[in-house]
Amino acid sequence: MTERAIISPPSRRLARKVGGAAQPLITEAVIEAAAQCVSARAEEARSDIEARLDQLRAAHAEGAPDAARRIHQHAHDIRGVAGTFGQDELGAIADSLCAYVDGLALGHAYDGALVESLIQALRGVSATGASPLSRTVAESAKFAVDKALRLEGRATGG
Amino acid sequence: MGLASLQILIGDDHELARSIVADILRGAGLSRIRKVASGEEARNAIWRTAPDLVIADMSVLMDDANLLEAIRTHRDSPDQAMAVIAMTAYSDLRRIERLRDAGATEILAKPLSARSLMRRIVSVVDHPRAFVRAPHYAGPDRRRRVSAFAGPERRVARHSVLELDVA
Repeated sequence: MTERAIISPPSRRLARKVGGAAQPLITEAVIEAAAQCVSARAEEARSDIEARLDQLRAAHAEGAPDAARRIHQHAHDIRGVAGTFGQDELGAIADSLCAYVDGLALGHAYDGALVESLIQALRGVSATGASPLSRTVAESAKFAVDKALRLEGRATGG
Repeated sequence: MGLASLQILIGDDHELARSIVADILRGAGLSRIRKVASGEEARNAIWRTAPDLVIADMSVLMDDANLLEAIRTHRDSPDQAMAVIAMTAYSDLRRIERLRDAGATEILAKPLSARSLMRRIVSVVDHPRAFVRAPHYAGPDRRRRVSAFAGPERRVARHSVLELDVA
């Protein structure tokens, strides 16, 4: 069977709108001015992550019925801010915590010790920043979560 | 005229990330900026205001309703060829391919930097790509390199568009 693909030529609408081309308008001075805006937000990001780590710990400690949902929300936020600022290891551990809480929705039991260790890992990596050790911690966190969900899945037949 | 004339929609579920993108754009002299936090908000804003450029995180573009696919394929889309810069904190090949195959115009891997974002804006304005509507894909032409092809020519030029037989 033959079906049709239609290819329309590139539109120059945006170029016409800016008056020709964007390249000449984006000088090094423009980029530098824009980059300073990012630097100005870096401290705000650090404070934001610290605050969310506190909220994460509080949610875990309270153990309220909706603790898992709040833990996921805080871990999700940490993952986003870390990713935006290139804190890959921190983002990876937060991603592992999100994956674990997602796994709970499939019927897995809540393992408080694992969540506690993931929160400690987040705290440690947040304090130390990028390093070979923080990479190892992030990989270990992922391994621990994968293993927990796999083993739990086997035990419950899920 | 100028970059300031571009109407831009920023979508990210993280407030700080939205603000940083807006800061970068304002620092570069762009001012017609709207920010949204979810795919649903983004869809409402796009359908209502038809921005020139969407800069959005993967979580917004590829949510359950698949906003990017809706922009590219829905009959009532305000502009199926709308420029969309997709941001992602994950640069693994699988996610990049998902964004590309969903029709992202440009993909911007986080961490965010002013230079990388402005480079993508230059790309969508100065180097627009052909738009492809095929049975299993709608979006910018994914072929970035021009290479020699020795097989039979099956392209037919009609009314300034190309029609391609897809076996």
